Amino acid sequence: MDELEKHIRDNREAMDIHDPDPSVWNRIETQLPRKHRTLIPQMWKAAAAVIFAVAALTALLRITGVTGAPENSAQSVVRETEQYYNSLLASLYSEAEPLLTAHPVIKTELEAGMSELDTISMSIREDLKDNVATGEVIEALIRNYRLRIELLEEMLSVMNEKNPDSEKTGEYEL
Amino acid sequence: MSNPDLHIHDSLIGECRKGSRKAQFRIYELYSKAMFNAAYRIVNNREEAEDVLQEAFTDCFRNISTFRSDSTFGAWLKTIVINKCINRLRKREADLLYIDDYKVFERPEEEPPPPVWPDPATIARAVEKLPDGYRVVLSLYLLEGYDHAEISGILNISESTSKTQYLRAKDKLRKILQTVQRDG
Repeated sequence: MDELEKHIRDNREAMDIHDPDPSVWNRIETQLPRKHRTLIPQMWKAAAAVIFAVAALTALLRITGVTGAPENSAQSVVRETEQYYNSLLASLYSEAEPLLTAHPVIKTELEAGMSELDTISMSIREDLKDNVATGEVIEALIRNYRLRIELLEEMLSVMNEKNPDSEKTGEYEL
Repeated sequence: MSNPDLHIHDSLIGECRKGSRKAQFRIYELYSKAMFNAAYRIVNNREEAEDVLQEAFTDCFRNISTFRSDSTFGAWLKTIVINKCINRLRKREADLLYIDDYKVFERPEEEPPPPVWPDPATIARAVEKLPDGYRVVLSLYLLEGYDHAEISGILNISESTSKTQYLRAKDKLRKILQTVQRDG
């Protein structure tokens, strides 16, 4: 190896003087298959866990005869909880609405998911009427709201990702 | 070729096999600059080098299940890049100036080295001034680390042609560098 060869090999990395345009990655990305997502089933698993927990607690507490907080206090907590989460959900819905029009499949999935969570929510409210283990039941109601919010946020994330105008960061996996 | 990174990206590559976009992007970040420069030195054109980079990474991620970790991932990816570059040169019918008809090759007399070698960027730009045939062989041998047997397979030329072409390319590069230094 002569001096010139040695000099070049010793400085091999510094010979890479060009940088590819950042758009190259975007072009690559458009040609790669998207990873299949299973958002809704994950949400169902979580929702099912909530139903099971509430049902088990209710049954247990009925058997043991334990009762919860006074009705008036519980109703006040429920009202405040509902106000807070309903305003959060309304804000997310208003953000999702224009995107949902462009993604009818996601809209259908979201509506089905929300409808199922509504059913669970009604079941939780029935437990409240029975005045059984109020603290745990309110907690279940909050979890139900949180699931709706997570569902909406994940759907928003998917729709933003599908939107060609959205920022691409490479952080896709859910 | 040396293989210091034989298994260092195994977990990332495993995620790429599952289709993780995040892992694919990380691999792209790690390898794109080196691959782009390797492509640039061969096709000697920015747009074509970017096209090669795009095609190579797309093929790489689509076919990553065929990658076997008995070679380095970088070497595997580089093979894809180099093959695409050579195909492009052939399509544009680049004058590769292979000198198979040289019965006796007179090795050029090496001039004494300059007191200070030019900086790597200057040398890189000097390499870009070489004719296609010289530039390709010199890049593959000196910068990409292929030996003459491998280059003969890649370019479909004899091993002795690869050696001869390389010596002439190096001589030409030396002259370009001397001119650059003389002209300041």
